[in-house]
Amino acid sequence: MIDKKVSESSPADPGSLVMASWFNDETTIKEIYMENYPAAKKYILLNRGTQEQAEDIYQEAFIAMWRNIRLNRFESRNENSLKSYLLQIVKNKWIDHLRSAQYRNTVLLNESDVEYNIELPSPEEQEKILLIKEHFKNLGDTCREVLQRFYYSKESLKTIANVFDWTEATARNNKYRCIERLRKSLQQNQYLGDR
Amino acid sequence: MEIDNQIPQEQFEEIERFLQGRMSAEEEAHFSQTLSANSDLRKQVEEIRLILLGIEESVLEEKLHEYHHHIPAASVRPLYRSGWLAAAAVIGVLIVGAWWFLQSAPANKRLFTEYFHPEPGLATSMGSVDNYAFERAMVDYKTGDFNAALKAWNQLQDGNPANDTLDYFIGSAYLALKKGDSAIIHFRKVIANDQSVFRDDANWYLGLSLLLNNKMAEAVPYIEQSSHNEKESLLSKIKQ
Repeated sequence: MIDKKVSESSPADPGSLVMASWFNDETTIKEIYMENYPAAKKYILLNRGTQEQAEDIYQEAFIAMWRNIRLNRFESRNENSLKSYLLQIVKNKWIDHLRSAQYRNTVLLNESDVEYNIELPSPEEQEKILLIKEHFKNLGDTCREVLQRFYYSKESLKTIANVFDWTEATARNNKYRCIERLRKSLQQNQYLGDR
Repeated sequence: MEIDNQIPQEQFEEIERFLQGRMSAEEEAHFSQTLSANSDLRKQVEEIRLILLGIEESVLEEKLHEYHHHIPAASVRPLYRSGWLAAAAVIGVLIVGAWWFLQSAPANKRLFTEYFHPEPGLATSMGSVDNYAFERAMVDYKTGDFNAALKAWNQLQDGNPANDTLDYFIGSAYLALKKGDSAIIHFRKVIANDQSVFRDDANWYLGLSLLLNNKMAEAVPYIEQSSHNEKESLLSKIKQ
């Protein structure tokens, strides 16, 4: 699926998470994250969950929502649709957890009408991204920082060059080398996995 | 990942520009056209797309994890479902209770007041005939009418003496009424049941019940066995 340009796919609402997710605007992401946590926690605690479980499930749900936004799987209608979407992912994940854990004596809330058809990642996609995250973490401090600054924080090559005392050309080349290092690491894992 | 070969830098940077929407309209149109005719290139683009997404997700995960440590305690206290008036009434009861304890101020009672947050209770659908009595009592519990809840649940327990759910909530209701002795009896029964899903919470509340009855040394192992997120904090204060 081809990514659309940022200007075409994100709505004009500057406060929305959709915009924030494209730029990884930390202030907005954090605000929305903290604002919506109480509702998720309440749901999970009222349904036999612990605080720790609420934290874990909420984090997973938030990231799943972020990914769906970035892969254009979520059409934001308005600010509230995002809250409902997020809460629905939380509920779905918690219900799955309860069913698999075989809880006894649990009375679940009547599930409200499903408003969103939430597209879940394929197991293949999930596995690939998990692997990428694992290999990224093992990449070495410099590469991790370069890639984090460029791809997550959206810093310019010039800014990154200043941080490391490089020229801009060097920063550009190093970014490329780090990506290739990551790809190679993943390919080696794949090769071992295929044996 | 299907690609074995290194991607040349220029090509990587082109794919990166495409994925980040940094191509001019003309360049993008041309690239899209090439893409539709070249399956190897499509595979490369998808691979790079996932890699860049994975990098971002990895960092995002770390950030989200940090945020939980900044959420203020007040915003995550559980609220009763049945409306703010009921919640205010319960809070009123708790505040009076807390004030009373603070007046007498022995350490165990101060700690109890600081760390005791009532078990929130189960969600109720009131749709099931079998569970009606149990759920009706649960509604009483959640609106703060602990005595009514106890009356109904104790009656149910006559016919179901080994039911861990009943023991757990009867214990919770007694604890909310500050009746430590009765709470202790019921939480002990829950803990004796290896299979109970309430065991972990029961450890925490048994610890608090013993604390309430000024049995601090006895309380410690139960608090330790629980996985409550405030346990370290409470344990360090008990040991002072």
